[in-house]
Amino acid sequence: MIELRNVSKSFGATPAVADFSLKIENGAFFVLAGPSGCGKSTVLRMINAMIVPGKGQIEVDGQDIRAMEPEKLRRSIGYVIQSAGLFPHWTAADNVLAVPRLLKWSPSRCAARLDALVALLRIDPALLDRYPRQLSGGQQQRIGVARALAADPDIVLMDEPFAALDPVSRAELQDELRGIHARSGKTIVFVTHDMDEALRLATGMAVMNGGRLIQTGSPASILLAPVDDFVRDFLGGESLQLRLLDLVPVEKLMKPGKTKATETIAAGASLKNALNLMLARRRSFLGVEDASGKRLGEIHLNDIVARRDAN
Amino acid sequence: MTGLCGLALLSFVRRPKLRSFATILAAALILWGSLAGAGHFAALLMQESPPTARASLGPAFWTLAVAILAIADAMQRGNFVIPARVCIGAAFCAGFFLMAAAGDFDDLSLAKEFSNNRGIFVTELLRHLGLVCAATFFALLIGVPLTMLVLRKTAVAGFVFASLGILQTIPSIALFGVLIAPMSKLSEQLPFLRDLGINGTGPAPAIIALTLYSLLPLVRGFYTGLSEVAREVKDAATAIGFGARQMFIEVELPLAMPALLSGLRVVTIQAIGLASVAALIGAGGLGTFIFQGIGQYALDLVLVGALPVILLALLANFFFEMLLGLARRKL
Ligand SMILES: Nc1ncnc2c1ncn2[C@@H]1O[C@H](COP(=O)(O)OP(=O)(O)OP(=O)(O)O)[C@@H](O)[C@H]1O
Ligand SMILES: [Mg+2]
Repeated sequence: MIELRNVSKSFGATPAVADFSLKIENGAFFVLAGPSGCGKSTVLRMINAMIVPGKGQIEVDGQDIRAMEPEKLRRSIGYVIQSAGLFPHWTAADNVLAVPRLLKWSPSRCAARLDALVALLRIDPALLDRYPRQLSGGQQQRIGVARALAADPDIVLMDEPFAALDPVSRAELQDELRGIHARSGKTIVFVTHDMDEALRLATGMAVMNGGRLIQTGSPASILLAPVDDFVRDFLGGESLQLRLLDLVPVEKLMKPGKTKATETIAAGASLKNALNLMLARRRSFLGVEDASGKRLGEIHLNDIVARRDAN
Repeated sequence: MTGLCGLALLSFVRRPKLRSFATILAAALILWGSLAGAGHFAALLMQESPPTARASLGPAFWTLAVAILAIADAMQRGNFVIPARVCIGAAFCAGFFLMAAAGDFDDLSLAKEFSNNRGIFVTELLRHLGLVCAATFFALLIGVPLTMLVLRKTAVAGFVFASLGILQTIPSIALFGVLIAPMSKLSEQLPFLRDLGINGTGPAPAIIALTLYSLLPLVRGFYTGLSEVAREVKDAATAIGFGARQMFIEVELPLAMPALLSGLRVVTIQAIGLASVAALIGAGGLGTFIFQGIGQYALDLVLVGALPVILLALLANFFFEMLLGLARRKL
């Protein structure tokens, strides 16, 4: 568990983070969101003692981080930044193994770990001997994520890791990361200002503004009940309603029973997908089928429009 | 002549690697050809002259300089691998020495001048190298901590660079001269300095002056090199748990290495040149021949000093180019 208690940090006269308190449970995929300059990176860098708070306390697994040796703490926490920050004079493999080598793992253990990571992140083994400048942005970022996971840390901090990638590589890496999180139960703290990314990944999230925490909760609860206009606007303003549809699976609003519909949609698809399909095919209702293609019931446009969210 | 035409024609060859290689060959032809020719004509002339006469190298000799430059330039552009460069360099020296050994140059006045001074030449060459090495050593000794200071405390950076800049603008002869008075005072006051051979004249003030001149390019080169290591990379290194020392050894130093070597190259080559002036205050070195030659209007004696200085500078440049090539290979 990561806990920040009344943490403040100013650079010179301007406060970057003010009276900030937050609890991040073990195993959470926690997203920190907010406009540029609101202090997200500062919060993240305070967690691994890269920045020392002016006031307040930070605990990792119940231990005050001031009592820990900063280098030791950092080696136990993975860290990924936007531009990967790979060492340009090391091969991809050496980059991945940076932390295990700092921890003085044996060469055989390093080799075994490298193999495991290559499999986990589906890295093309041919890339391992290349230098970072010989890799594409997406490949570099994959190596960056592998480096963060190399020593199998319980906590991984990620600062806009996918912001510079094209939509395809971004979606790929997001899926990869979500899978790894689900399987490993690691705690991930993830900074982004891309709301779609936040909603796709987060189990819990915090919205910040001007160095302060404005709202925390599950993505759905924040979308459904933004505490103020700032949060509402930040979450998408006019497209807020469409974003909400993204959170609800079709099966939640489905009417079970027989259907004569000619167009069908998967039960696990979101209401947004369903609405999209209805608009595209000019239908007011769709059949719903499960993964094996068995028809479960149908979904109606009226129900989507009139729904009262029960998340 | 053929060589020169060849050199001109070569500029039309398209493939850069081939062109560089052919240029080197052509230039080598010119070089060896004119050297052999010079030796030959000198011998012819000498047959009809009294033994005290000297045959000097005429303007044709300066085509040699062009040839050498062409070779150096082609080596740079051709971007040859290091073993290839070493082979080309060695082939040259071998050719030159073979010709010398065969007695091709014996009648040239330059060679006569050289063999007249052979004994002291080696001593002065070693002295020259000694001055350069000592100055570079002391420059590193002072410059490295100074660089660290400037990197840590940006507030003093302006002051340090301004002071070093002023030092750099003092003309070399003036600096050598200015050091004589305080140094002699010092060695009068402190007998142990005198016992060490430290005087107002001689190698001590020369080394001090050369060191002072070396500081600015050294500190500036090192400072830029180290401060230009990308911030994200250092940031990432800190974030995953590199300590200050590991960061310096494993990240900053290798990434700044090309810049560090470039700085050192400038310092060394500059010291090789400036050390010639040190002869004026009795520090010896190859400058001795230059100033003697100027005094006696003996151009060849000047060349006995000047040519090795140029060759040393070229050699140092070549050496650092090689190291730079090694350091850049990974970046
Ligand atoms: N090292 C620093 N020195 C001075 N001011 C800083 C420093 N780091 C951050 N700040 C300031 O603190 C505030 C918060 O910065 P921070 O980097 O945490 O923002 P952010 O939310 O990560 O923004 P972005 O989304 O653009 O990355 C900004 O106003 C920034 O200018
Ligand atoms: Mg940031």
